[in-house]
Amino acid sequence: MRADDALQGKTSGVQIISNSGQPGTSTSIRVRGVGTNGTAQPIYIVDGMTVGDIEYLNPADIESIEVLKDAASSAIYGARGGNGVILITTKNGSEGKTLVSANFSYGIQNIAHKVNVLNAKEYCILQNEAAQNGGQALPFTQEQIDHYNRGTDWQEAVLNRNAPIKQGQVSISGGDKNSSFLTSASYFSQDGILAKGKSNFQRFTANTKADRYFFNRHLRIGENVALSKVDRQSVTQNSLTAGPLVSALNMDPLTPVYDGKNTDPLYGGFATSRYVSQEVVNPVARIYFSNGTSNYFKLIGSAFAEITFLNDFVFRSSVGTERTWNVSYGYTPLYRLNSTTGNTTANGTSQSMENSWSMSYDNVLNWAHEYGVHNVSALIGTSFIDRSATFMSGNRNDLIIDDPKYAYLSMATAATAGVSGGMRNPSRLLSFFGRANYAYDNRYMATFTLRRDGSSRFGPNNRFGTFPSMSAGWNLNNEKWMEGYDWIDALKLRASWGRNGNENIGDFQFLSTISTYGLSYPFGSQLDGQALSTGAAPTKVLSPDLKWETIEQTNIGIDATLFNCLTVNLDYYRKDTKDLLLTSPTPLFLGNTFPTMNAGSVRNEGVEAFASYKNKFDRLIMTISGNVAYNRNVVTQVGTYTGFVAGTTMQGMSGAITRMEKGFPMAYFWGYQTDGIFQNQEEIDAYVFTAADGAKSLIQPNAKPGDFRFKDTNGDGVIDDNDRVNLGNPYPDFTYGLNLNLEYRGFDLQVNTSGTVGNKIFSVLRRMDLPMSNYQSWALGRWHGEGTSNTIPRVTTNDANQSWSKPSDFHVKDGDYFRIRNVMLGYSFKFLKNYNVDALRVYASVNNLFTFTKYTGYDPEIGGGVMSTGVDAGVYPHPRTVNFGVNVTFR
Amino acid sequence: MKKDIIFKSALIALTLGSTACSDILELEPPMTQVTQNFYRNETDAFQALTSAYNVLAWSAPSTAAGSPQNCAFELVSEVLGDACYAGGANANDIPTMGRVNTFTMLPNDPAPEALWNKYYTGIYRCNQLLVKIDGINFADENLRTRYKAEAQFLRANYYFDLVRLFGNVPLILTPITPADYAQVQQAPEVIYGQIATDLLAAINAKDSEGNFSLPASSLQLAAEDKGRVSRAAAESMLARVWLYYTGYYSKSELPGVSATDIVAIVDDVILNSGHSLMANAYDKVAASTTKTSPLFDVANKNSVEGVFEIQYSDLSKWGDWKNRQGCLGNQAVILWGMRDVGGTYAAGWSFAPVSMALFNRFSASDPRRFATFINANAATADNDGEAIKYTKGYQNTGIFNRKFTPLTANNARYGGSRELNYRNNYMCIRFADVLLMGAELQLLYGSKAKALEYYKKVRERAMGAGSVTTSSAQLTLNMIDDERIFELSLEGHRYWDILRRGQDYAEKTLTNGEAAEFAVTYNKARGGLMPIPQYEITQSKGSLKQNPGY
Repeated sequence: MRADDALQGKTSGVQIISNSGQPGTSTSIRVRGVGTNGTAQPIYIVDGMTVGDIEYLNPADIESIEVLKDAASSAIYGARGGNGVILITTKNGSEGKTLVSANFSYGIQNIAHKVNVLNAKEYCILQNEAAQNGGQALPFTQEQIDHYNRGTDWQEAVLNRNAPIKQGQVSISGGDKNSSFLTSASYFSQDGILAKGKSNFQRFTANTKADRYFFNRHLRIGENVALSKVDRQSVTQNSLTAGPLVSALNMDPLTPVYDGKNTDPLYGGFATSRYVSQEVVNPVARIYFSNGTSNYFKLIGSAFAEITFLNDFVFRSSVGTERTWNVSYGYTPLYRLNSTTGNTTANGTSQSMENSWSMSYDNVLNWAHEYGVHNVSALIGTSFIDRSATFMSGNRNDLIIDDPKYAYLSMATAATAGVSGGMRNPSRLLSFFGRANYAYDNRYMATFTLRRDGSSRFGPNNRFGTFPSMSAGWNLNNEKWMEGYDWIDALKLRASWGRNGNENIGDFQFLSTISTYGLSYPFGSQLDGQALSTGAAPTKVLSPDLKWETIEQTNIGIDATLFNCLTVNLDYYRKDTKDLLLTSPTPLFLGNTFPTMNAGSVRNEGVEAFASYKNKFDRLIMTISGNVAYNRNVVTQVGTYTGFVAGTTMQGMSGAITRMEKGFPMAYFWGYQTDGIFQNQEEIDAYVFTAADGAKSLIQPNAKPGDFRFKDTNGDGVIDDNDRVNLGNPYPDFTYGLNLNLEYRGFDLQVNTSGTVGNKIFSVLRRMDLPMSNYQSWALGRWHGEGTSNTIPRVTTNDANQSWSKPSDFHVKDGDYFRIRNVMLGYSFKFLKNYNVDALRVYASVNNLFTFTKYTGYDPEIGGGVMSTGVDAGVYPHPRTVNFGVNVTFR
Repeated sequence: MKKDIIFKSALIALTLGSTACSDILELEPPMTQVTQNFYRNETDAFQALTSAYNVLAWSAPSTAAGSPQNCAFELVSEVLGDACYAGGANANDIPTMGRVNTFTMLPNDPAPEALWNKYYTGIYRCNQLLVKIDGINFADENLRTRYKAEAQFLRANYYFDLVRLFGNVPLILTPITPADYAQVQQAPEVIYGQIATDLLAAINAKDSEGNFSLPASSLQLAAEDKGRVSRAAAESMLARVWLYYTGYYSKSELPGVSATDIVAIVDDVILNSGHSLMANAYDKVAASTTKTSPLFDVANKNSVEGVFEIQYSDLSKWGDWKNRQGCLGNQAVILWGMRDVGGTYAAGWSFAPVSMALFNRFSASDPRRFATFINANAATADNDGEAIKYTKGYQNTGIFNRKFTPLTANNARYGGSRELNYRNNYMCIRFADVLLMGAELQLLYGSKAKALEYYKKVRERAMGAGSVTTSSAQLTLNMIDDERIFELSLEGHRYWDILRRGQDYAEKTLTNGEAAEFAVTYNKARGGLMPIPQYEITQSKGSLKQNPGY
């Protein structure tokens, strides 16, 4: 449970994709589309301090989350605000009696649905058919087919049914006229719905926050310390070459889980398949032999002093630090999963530790004054952030006791051990900023912001960047001529323009680093003394002009409150990202490899609408809100020699399957178009190309009846990479959410939903390069004779036409979905005042209740990097969770 | 009191805030060596120099897209020349090789692009060291002088191969930045002038005691330093450059080096370097057992005859087929080999099959025929036929290059892919070549007697003492040229020997009049040059111009 999960479906134009259902997984947040092929994540500001991630936060400590989408509001974050800003304010104590609040919940999680795969009998039938089509001996006799029935359900074998999820937290808060404080502690633990004991997440947090006024409220001093400890174990997911899930889908159902007769102890009593090979292995054994934990302890601390002087001035100075101590352990036993996969040389262990830290130091001077109807304010400030890390890691083989409990470096005996350590790349950011606000009569308002950021990540020629923004607003309802419209409570027109940056471009990309790999020379006569002399040369040339990615955004919006109960926001935006970092080819006479350059542009354009209705009907309080956002994404420039940037690849398929290319959406799926299935040889023979000289040739000479007809889009008579086209992209055209909140007497009901329209999924859950891999059940509808199918090709062990393994629209599926994320029903007891209990609420909820989608994989919500979002190679599905909990507050 | 405290705290905060200035953004990465913190001491300098040598060994350089190309300089030179065809498994094995063979190369062919990449990488590494070397802290100043001389030799060597192949190339003498991408090609005399300048600087570099900085010859190099540059290497290279430039461009001298100068320079190598011809170089008895003549036997690398050898080794245990530039094995070897042979011969890829006409040009009594060729065909009379069982590739003639053929005995000893790790050195300059260059220069500009003496040394080593009965008056350039064929065939020199005799001669020699797949027609309009890679023209935004004829 992450703090930003709460934002899902709530804010228009903000897409929050939980990357997978694995406990402790991160989220991909896309504010108004993707503007970069690099890091598209927004920055997190918690109580004014930038933090790397908010996994450490206890969601119950959060007072509010706000997403800054337009350039005018995020301009004050300059070179870091380009991908949006997530502002989080944590709770604080308030004046009054000390308040104690506690919250406990317990839930069980299960997979929402399994993927249907062939059972043992179906597997035999289809494999026999594939062998026959491939001209091979049939692997199974009729006797075997008759004997087999369902066989092993490998998915069931790796599932962890009724996996528990627990959380508890308690906080004490209070304050008086001049001070406030809050202290809280929490515990959260979640087991994964896969791989029992090897996929889980635990978090402890402790937090204390306090501030106090001095000198007649002229000085205010405060501090905030948050400690958290996170432990996790994960299994590999979304990979066709590792992880248990893809093995569970591809493993033949004939093999049992265990095989007591296997005398080789390296197999640990697990059965191995006689049919599938390579990385498709017994997934239960894979889980059993996987070991490794990682954990961190994090300290985030900050302190501030705020001085109010000459009535109108406030000076605030703050220091903050974030320190993380990461430790991870690995243990590799001696084992075998099949003849080619395993570790048969030596058991071993690894351990690594990293201590990363950042310090920030901020000074801001605020001034505000009212001159009659003129309301003027301004601020100036500086900010400095310094980040670095040290690390150490080691590994050693030959453990004295072959047991993960004793898998420490000093318990290993191998003569050679690997060790490394040192400093991680440091980075610094120095900023100066200012802002001026002017409002006239609460009718017209204007803001001008200017920030100047210098980052050690930028090349020496572009150390500093300037980021201006301006915005104007007009409160129409404060105009005299609007007085008659009583039903309009508020009506505001907004327009803004601003420039931001994305500083997240990696450290020292501009430098020319020295390498020794592949640069030696064998001096010496060969009989005696020939040895490789180490050579060293720069790996790339210096690119001193390297700079931030620039984001320029124009925004026009309307805010209205009508009839005292309806709030409406409408926004139009156009966001241009320029100077994307690409590895751009340079002339060879440079004599060295290409440096990274600012050479790409992307435009995101869209509209957002948000409406909220809140009313009270007798004792029923109802809030309904909905939001919808449309975004259009197009790459407007790719300054590489080839004109495109290749994205992610898929095991068993040739070339990248995603691309960034001018005139196309970011990370579009690049593949072949199918045009039905050849029903017979005549159709194959009729699919010919006529050359200029009249000569005819078959376009798909390797095809057999039952194979796909691929479109020869460039009309050259050959099916090759030049025929690959845009098959859609993983980013939705529309995102929307609907949320309902009802309160009646003591009852409360919340329903949260979200959905997407127009996004595609590139789905390959099968190892196409291993013919004996199991099929999903829909493969039963394959072509197996003239007229039997025009959408699913024949199965064959010899797919010379590559009907299954060409990256084609066959693998691209609609990813539209509508998900009922959460339904929660609560009841608050009101008669407990006499027992000094302020509030007692019990609740039950279901997370991920239901998903409406045509997608047949586990889950249509697939996150990842910008170039690999929406690629499903066995994503860990999101659990369906049933939760029961209680909140109690007393003084 | 209160106000005072507030004022003081504000002052402290402001002071701290204003200490930040932009210097604090100048960080250095602690984990990686960068250009900024490298090039400090002798060790760094030697590593930088080694990386400049490294490019010598690039027998399969990559294109801009990183695709390795089988285009070792000596093999490509022979395919361009009249000695070899393209070969390979079939006509489509490496299509670019076929176009090299028939002078029909395309501007976007990968082989020229990879070669262009190789030489500019070498030039870059030399430039990088030469720019940095004066700022490096040397305990021994003489080392600085020597490294500089070596880098200058290497740069000249890279420029020479580059300008021979491409004719019109930009001159880059310092590491460049994006601001310098609009390079223009320099007139050949400018490039050759620079080559001469670099070589003369290497030859004449003196240490603090006034002695020549470079060792007189590779024989003076310590065992562990074999392969490094000597004065003899630089002088011989200058002679090769001189002959090629004056020949190809019909000039009377190389900029800065007169005919008299070069005669003296070559004589210095012949008389003073200590190099000599290996006595039993072509011992046929030995060669019949090992299947390689002693001169090209890997057991005799860095012999008395090797003036400048490009070192290859199986020590890099290379197995990365996607990047073959870091590989230190001689990757031309696998190309030369016969397909699917066994026993003493190791299987190869049958590229650059040798012309039967060349084989027939050799007399049966010349032991160099057996040393140069493998005749895989059936034995008849005295044709050295070995009746080898092998798979015939494209343009098969049955004649293969023995000098660099893969032998089972030379297979990778320490691991890595067999194909990538042959340790056969490439003798870039050997003493026999120097003697023949000396003979040529003496014949044209010096003493005919000396010319005969040098010619005789080479020929009599092979044919036996007293076999040369020619008088100095009878010695002709053609005889020397023929001797270059007998002595140096399949070592990558022939094509350049043809080109330096002029375009008419080239057309006459290289248009072979053969039939079908063996037919080659020289394209005089292209002057024997490779196309400037289209990639480079595009990347320079058209400031580079394509060569004539393309």
